[in-house]
Amino acid sequence: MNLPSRRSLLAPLLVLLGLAPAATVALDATAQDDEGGALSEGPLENTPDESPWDAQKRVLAKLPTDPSVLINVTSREMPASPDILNLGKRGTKALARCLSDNIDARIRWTCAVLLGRLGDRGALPALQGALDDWEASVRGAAADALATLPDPTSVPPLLGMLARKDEEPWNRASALRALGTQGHPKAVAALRAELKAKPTGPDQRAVAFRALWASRHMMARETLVGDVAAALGSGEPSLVEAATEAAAELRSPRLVGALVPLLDHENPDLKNKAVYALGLVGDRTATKALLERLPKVRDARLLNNIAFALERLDRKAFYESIRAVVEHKQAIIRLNAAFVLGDVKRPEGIPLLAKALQDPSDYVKTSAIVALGKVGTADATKLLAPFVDAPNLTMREEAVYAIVTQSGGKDLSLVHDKLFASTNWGVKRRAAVALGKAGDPRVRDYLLGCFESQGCSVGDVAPYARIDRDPAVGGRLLLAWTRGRDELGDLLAELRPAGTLPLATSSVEAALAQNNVWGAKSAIDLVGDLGDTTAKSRLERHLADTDTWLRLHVAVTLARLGDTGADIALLREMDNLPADMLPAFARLVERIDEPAVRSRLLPELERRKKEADQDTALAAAAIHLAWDPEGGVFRLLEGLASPSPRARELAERYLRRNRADKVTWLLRRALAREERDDVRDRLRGILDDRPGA
Amino acid sequence: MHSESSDRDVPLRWKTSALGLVAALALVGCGAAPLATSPPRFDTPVPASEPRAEVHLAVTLASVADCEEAFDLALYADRSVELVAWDPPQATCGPRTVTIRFLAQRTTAEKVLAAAKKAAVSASAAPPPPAAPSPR
Repeated sequence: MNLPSRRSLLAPLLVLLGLAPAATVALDATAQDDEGGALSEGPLENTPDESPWDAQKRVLAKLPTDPSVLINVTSREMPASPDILNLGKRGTKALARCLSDNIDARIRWTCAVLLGRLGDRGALPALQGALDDWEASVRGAAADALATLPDPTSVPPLLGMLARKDEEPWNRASALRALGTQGHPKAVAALRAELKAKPTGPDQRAVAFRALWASRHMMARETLVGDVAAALGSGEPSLVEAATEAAAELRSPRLVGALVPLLDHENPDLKNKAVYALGLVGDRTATKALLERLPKVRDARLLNNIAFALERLDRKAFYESIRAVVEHKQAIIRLNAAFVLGDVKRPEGIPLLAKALQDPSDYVKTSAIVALGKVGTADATKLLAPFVDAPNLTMREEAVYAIVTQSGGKDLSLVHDKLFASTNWGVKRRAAVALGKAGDPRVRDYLLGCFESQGCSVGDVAPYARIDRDPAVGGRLLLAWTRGRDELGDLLAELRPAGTLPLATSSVEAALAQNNVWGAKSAIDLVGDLGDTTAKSRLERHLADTDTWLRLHVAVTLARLGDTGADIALLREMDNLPADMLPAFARLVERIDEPAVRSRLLPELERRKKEADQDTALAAAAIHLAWDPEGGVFRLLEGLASPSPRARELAERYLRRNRADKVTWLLRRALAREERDDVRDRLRGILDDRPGA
Repeated sequence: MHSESSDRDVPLRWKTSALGLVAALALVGCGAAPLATSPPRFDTPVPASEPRAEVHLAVTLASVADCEEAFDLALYADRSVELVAWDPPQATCGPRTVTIRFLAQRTTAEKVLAAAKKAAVSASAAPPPPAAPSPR
């Protein structure tokens, strides 16, 4: 056995001697803490009989005003994260000091995470400093937080973290991701270097690629395409997959050569993504490779993707090849071929689908019926008339809906006679919903009963309830709301059945008395919808509640009821909220549909739309978009073209989540006039994900 | 084959652009009309004060995936088309009605109809859609 030499023991000994004074101080402090003595000079003022709950409450109360309050807290006194977030950005200074000066690594980690969620730039120095923290988890949390707060001053420390040989691999990944959000040329250069370097440790090229992708607008198109092509040929599966997804967005013909070999990749997911990308690239040089593979496909998803790609690349060749697949000896392949013909929606598919209607397999026939319905022309649906009496219920159902849709939904008698009369629950339910949308009173009891028994959603029953204004309909829905069906709130606000107002105000009182915050929010929203100003005095005191979301629901409702003081409270909340709560805040404020209230708030939102803080600016723009798409869309389009990767992502997120038809139309207009490559790509992606695409 | 070295080109280009700049400044200084600028590379708002008009059309689109979007993109290529609003919105290519709002000082209803005919299988003027229900 080898004993350590004297020299090798010397170094640790010196370190221990060096740390001795610090250890003495720490022990001394612990001893004093136990006695409830010396630490009272600090923020804790701990007393032996103080419960952890009381201690946390005391610390929480001091947090907005005392930046040093978290320096000496232990996990016993540390308030819960949601309580700290409830304070919003007023907690930034204390959390920043906590990150620098608290000795407990778990608490520093919590503070770093919370600073990331707050998104307050005042925390930048502390977070940048924490990239050198002794504890790896704290360094990682700081890097993750900096990813949400892009700033040029963060780039050097993040590059430093990346360069350290002794850094943990997961922290290097965090640093790479954070560099990707900074929107800085040096960050882009570092990410490209990481992507090109031969991995010496764990291979993080895929992380570097995705981070670089977040900054893609900063790269020349040709350079970007070159990097994607290199990644496609890298052989590293996760990097190849990321590059394949990127290729689908870039749609550059230069990528075809690198994508085609992936058609034989062993990973089916990757293979499918490569086919999909080839279809979007639309370069005919890929046609031969796809055509060769079409007859051999044994996977429905791949068949569909190849067919879609071919239909874009060479329509004539596609219809010639799909004929062989429609006539394939295996029914499952014939079924999928029919499905594909429906999804491309072109009349060229009608003769092939007409043949599939004669197929011996009911499944293939049904697929062909659905497909003809999707093609949707009179020629297509004419072929379906014999099937409205088919003994097979699914065939009958699909034929009826295809015919009714093609006729513009004018005559629903087929739906009633052939489907609603069915004893099959699913078929009957679908028919009832379709008939309900047309206001057919014969389905009233069925639809309401279906909703009450949780078999139908509010979306299923709402169209009918809007047409049939019989008091019994609204009354039954109101009853369901009082029994806990909160999702009915908006519909009840619209229908306003007799008795809604007193029930809503009583529900607010009852929920708040029982500390049922969730139930209270729904009832408060309904009171706001109904415009009951008598509720103002009862709600006002909750503007100071400790629960952020209760305060916000109350502020929105009071603003809607004409309380201008609530406007101010609402805007103050907006400025103070953690950045990661702003999307939900915007969703709540979007509910305001009173023109007078919107007019009061809009100038303030306009001011915030111009703020440097992108989280606030884009949340304001999202609210404006919901209230007035034509007025609000331009700020979000500006965000989509921002130099900041994070602003681009946020703007895209807000545009994606607003599903209004008018927003779709405006996005199409933007796409038609957009000449900047990256913005065009993003608009294309957003539109591809919308209804009707 | 390159006939000139690039070394000679650089100062020449500089002289040309410098002379152009002097000429442009002189023109602006003399109160001439501003130089023509290239159109923006993206969608931009139009002042609310600019007059608008609408045309209502019945259209049948080609039966293809994305038929509605393809129609919209074709019409929006002309910046005097402000909004293509489908009534009612539905995912079919068959006969439908659409309201097209345009900038009345920059184009005419006839030109919009002509563009619609080009982008659709058929397009013709239609009566205006019924007024939408008033908001609650």
